[in-house]
Amino acid sequence: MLSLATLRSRWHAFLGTFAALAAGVALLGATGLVLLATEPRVPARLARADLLVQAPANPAVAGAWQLRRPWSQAEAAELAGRLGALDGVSAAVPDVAFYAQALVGGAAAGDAEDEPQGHGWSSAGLASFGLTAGRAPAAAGEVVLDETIGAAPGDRVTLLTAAGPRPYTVSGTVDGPGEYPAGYYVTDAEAARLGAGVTQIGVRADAQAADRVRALLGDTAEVLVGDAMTAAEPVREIRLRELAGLALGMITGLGTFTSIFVVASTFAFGTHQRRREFALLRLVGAVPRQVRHTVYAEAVMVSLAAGAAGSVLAAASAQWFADVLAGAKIVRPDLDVTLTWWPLAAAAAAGTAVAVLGVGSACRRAAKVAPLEALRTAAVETRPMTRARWAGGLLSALLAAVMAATLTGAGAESAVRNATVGAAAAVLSMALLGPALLPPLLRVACRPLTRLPGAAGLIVRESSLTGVRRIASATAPVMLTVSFAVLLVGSLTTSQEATANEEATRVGAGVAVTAVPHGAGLSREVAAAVPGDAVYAVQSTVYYRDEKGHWSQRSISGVSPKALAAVTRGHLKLVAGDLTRLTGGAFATRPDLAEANGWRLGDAVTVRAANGADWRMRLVALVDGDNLPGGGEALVAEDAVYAHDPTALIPVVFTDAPRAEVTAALAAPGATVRDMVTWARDDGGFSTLIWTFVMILVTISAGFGALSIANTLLMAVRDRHPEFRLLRLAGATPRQVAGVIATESTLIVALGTALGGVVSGGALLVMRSALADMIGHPVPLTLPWGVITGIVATCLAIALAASVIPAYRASRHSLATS
Amino acid sequence: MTVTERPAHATEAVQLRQVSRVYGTGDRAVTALDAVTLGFRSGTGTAVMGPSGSGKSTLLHCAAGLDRPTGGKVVVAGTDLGPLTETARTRLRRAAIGFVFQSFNLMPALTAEQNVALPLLLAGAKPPRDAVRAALAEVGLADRARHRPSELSGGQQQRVAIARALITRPAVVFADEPTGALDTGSSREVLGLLRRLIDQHGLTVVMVTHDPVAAAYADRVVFLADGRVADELTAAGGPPAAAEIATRMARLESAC
Ligand SMILES: Nc1ncnc2c1ncn2[C@@H]1O[C@H](COP(=O)(O)OP(=O)(O)O)[C@@H](O)[C@H]1O
Ligand SMILES: [Mg+2]
Repeated sequence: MLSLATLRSRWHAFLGTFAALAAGVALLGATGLVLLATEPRVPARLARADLLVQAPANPAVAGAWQLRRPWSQAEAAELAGRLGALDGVSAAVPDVAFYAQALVGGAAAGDAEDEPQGHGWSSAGLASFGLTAGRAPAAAGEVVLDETIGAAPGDRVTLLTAAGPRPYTVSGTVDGPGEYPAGYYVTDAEAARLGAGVTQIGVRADAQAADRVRALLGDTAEVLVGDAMTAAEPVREIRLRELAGLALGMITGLGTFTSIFVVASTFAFGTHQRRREFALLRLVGAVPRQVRHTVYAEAVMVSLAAGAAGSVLAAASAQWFADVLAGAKIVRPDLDVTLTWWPLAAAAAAGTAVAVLGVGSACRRAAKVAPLEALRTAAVETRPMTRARWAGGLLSALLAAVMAATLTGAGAESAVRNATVGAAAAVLSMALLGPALLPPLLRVACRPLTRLPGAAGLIVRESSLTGVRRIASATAPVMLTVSFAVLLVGSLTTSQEATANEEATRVGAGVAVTAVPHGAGLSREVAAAVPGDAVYAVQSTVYYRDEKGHWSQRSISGVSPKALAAVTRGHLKLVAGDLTRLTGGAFATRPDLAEANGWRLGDAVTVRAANGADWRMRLVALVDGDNLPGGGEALVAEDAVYAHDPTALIPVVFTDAPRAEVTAALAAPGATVRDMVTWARDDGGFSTLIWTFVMILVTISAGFGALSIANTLLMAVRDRHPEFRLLRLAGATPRQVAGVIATESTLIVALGTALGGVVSGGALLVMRSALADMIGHPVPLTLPWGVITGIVATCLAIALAASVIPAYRASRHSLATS
Repeated sequence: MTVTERPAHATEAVQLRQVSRVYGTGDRAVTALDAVTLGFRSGTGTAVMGPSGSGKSTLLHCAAGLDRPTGGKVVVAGTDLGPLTETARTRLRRAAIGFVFQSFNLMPALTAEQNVALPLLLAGAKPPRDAVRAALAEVGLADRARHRPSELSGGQQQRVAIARALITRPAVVFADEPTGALDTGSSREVLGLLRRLIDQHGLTVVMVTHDPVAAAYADRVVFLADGRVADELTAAGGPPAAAEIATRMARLESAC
């Protein structure tokens, strides 16, 4: 009853908490709904299969996609034949895949990360979509493709294939879902020619057939039925879901911590303001525990209301949130959020947990209020620096100092981490020690103010010095918001700048040839056309079984004799053996890799190639270098790769030929020619993604910071009505009272900005020197001035609005209502 | 009769023995109470008077268990307050002691009725509506039950505070300048009310005041000076006369 009555009469004091919790719950709830919607789904391309038979997967390897060990096309056809003969199975279709992307307006359709999109027409029978125009491909040069490409039956299109760009005639179109093309279907014979091994067989069968299929296959394959078929989802969607999980995890983490902070700080300030009330409760017989529970109950009640409001907000905004995230390429574009109650309930429960966590220290302080305080005539400003505050503040300061001291000795990477931890500790220490640090700063900051004509400067100085707690409470969120933004954005831009410079320097001068935008890679045909000393490696994967019978996937790089010569002149060193024998079935590897696998020069190793065939390889050379060309674990002849993997692609070709000459030589479409620096800076949109991400985080923290500032100032102004009345009695106009408050709020924002800027700026400087050490040349300190200005301006606008408007209104009435 | 006479303290709601209270330490130490020994008999009204700073409020706070004396012993309703924890003292206060203060100290968020019920609520009891209404009726505010403190006059607020002090049927009610913030009319009402409660319900009242007229409502007047009991006036037949009290006060104040 008491808590409810307090809530009703002091609702303004709980506004900030309510808003912070509602925003937090909305964020959490919307995130939950979005995450739920990113659940894996069966791709439309395979949706009509009743079960999927997949080749066995290799054990997962850190940093690489888990691949399936392919069957050869012959093996797959034989298996499909046996499956098709089973009772209840109406069709078994080996899903042959080959690399294909349509060239549309100089760019490749689809996504560079996609798995091969080319299939035989028989695979189309597994898809949920069908022909919308035209007919099935009937001849080698015909293709059925997605309507999104914009081609109609009879049109000519260029398909990028592993063999090179090829002209095709559109024989028909299909209407796949989503914005990405749903695949390129050619005749089965053409697909067999272009494709490598087969990793999956789609089966159409009745419900009882699954057991018979399992019995037939034993453990030679995996059988996916129903929901399990989502395992066949495109790699792009798996990656996106991982990214979304990471992003949303950080967003909710930040949202949770900032709302704990807002609740803690507003309740701490509110509890201080209400000491007299708590003393009174104690006076009429409340034991400390009851006072504590009263405050807890208030927080819980506010959190329940906020949970309800936040859930509604989450439900209303989840789709919008998903669209924003999709715009930032963090979730897939066609994400449909369905409303489910439990993420909302969980978010609301988390809101209550946040409230209880945040209000803890305020509750303990409230319970410590002595009943006698109710009887003191004047509200004494108790010492704002509690012992816990001193201890916490000094400890974080110590941590910051330790981090700063250990920076110079540490490696570059841990230096960056230490600088970040140190900065966070310094900010925390400043926030905690604020009431002790502020008075001298306030005196300095007020010096110019007191010189101004009029009384405002004097009044601001005196009232802020006597209300240090108020100033500290309002300064802390400004400081936290500013330093968070500066640190996060500043370290990002600085390190981005540094790594781009470093990479460009490392690679050296020259020209880089890569696929057209969104293209997965280059064909041998295009690579061969690059003039000059062209260096490249074609990438493939082989599957290796060690003597214990464990399979693992190994990346291999195929190089031409010309490229090999160029590479060995450069950073590759022959340790043993003979690289001229790197032809046919020969391979070379690094000594450490050879040792780890127990291979010696002259040993023969049998692996399964991408086309599903056994490949006997002999180790002819050991070469040393940080990385083998192409980054693979083994080096083989280019021809050998193509012989075993017709879908293999070349990521990049470097050449020393002049750029104009390269561009002229590659007049045919299918490649992008850039200088090294431009190429090195292109990280496939990764930095744009990170940037979006950082901006989302900064916006969230700034939003919560603004809430905190507004709430503290609103609460402070309400308690200062008697002060306004005295000012008015002394002859001040309401406008002058508002002026005093405006000056004070500006002072608060300025102090917060200065403190936050000093701490985070210092950390950035430290980080810069660590980065400079790492890459061996100076790094420019890139500060996000636009972001900082935006945040400070927002803080200032909110601080002024939350203090000046109520102060002006109160001072217009305060004489009458005395 | 001498054999069967019960010890005097058995009828005393509150006893203070050698109670001292020193604020601060070292040079800045102030002795607010200096080994005061006093008893307040059940069913009587006692006025505590003295110059400003003589220790009246401190005496009240120590006797009521709001403050811990630095020396001596306080016994309320037969319980020694000394060894009690903060929570136990609060429970005792809740059960046995009522307060009325100069600033009425009502919870601004609660209605008159809710303010009165508060001590019972805090004690975990479901406050009987009738008892709350009766307490309000006793102080003449039955029709203001739903009003908040800001909607009541000073005298009315003080009467709500008295109703709140009485709701737990305490052994003793302490009042620190209960009429200090009231006009004459309201003062008379509040003092008359307290007197009636003593006479009709056997309430024990200890009241600090500097107003001889207010003190004249008591059965006994205790004068404090420099933290010690300097003088005492007991009713012989009727309550002490205001004029007599004023004279004693004047004497005390000139002595300081
Ligand atoms: N909390 C306190 N700290 C220090 N000194 C106090 C405190 N409360 C009262 N005193 C001092 O103790 C003495 C008695 O105070 P008090 O009991 O309030 O007097 P009275 O109520 O008679 O005016 C005064 O000298 C006063 O200054
Ligand atoms: Mg006093």
